[in-house]
Amino acid sequence: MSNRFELDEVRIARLLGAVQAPADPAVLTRARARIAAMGDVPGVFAWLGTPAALAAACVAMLLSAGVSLAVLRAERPAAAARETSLVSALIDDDGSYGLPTSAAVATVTDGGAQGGPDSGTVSQ
Amino acid sequence: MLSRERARLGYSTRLGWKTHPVRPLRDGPEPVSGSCVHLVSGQEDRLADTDERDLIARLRTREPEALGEVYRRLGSAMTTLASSMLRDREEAHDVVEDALLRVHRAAPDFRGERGLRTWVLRIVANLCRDRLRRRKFIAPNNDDEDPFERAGLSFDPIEEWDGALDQHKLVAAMERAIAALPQDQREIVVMRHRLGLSHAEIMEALGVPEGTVKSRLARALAALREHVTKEIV
Repeated sequence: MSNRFELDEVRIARLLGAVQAPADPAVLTRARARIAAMGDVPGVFAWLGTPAALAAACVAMLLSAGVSLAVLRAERPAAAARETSLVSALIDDDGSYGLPTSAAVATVTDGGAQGGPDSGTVSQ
Repeated sequence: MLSRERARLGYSTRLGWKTHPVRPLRDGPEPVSGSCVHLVSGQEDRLADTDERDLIARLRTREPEALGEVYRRLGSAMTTLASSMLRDREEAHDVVEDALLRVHRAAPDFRGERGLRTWVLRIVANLCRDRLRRRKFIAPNNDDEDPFERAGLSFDPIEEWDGALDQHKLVAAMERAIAALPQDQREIVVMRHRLGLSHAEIMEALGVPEGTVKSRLARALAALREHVTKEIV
């Protein structure tokens, strides 16, 4: 090459434009085969592979999370109302400690007369 | 002389002729390297528009032959862009195949404002970017390797070329220089000078402003000139 070599824009463009890549018919054949294979998939499964399916799954997840949260919030006050602490139970107790009053009396009376297992008397 | 040269290369001239370095959109399936000239009158533009609108309408209805027609018209441009970007024949063919599938899938939503060629090349460019991003490394520049062989590119000798300059050596050096360009400059220089897209079409295809197209193109040409001059002189 001579030292006077100059690569102006026109020459660069001609060199660039002289290079091409031919289209390969096999590429179209493969693409058509893939399109045909996509067509064989049942509609629902084909739809599952689309971005719309992903979006629908996200929406469903958010909806279910929202519904769960709403149910939990609605349930909490009712559960709190049912809950009783030990102290409040003792304060509210009428002396029976949860047992029926007549049964408690009967137990004390029977135990004194017959000498139950805890009375200390020996039965003959 | 200069104006003739510029006209051959696709620059607009005052004579009302428009030239394309590659074949026009509606030409036959065989790629034609080098420049070709055709008159763009209002009537021809309308015919081309009608032709393209018909094809777009057929694509939108997913007519089986429409995709083949797209590939017949744009297959060479798609493959040239992918090969020039990726420098790998097999990968370029994979990208073109994926691009055809995307065209098929997206065709019902395509309204054709951008033009078919711009839309299809945009898809190819996006797929090439994805591939290049996934590579995560730049292939070493091997001077001994034939830059055409691996990329699947072919060179048609240029007529009316200064005999003192070895075309093959220059083109090989040019290919190595293109491979060394950053991806954003490479895609613009290939679209402009290898596929013959206008600045406006490149803007549409790449989604960047005109100023960016021009500045990247200028930087790319300067880098190519420097790289090739260093290698040849």
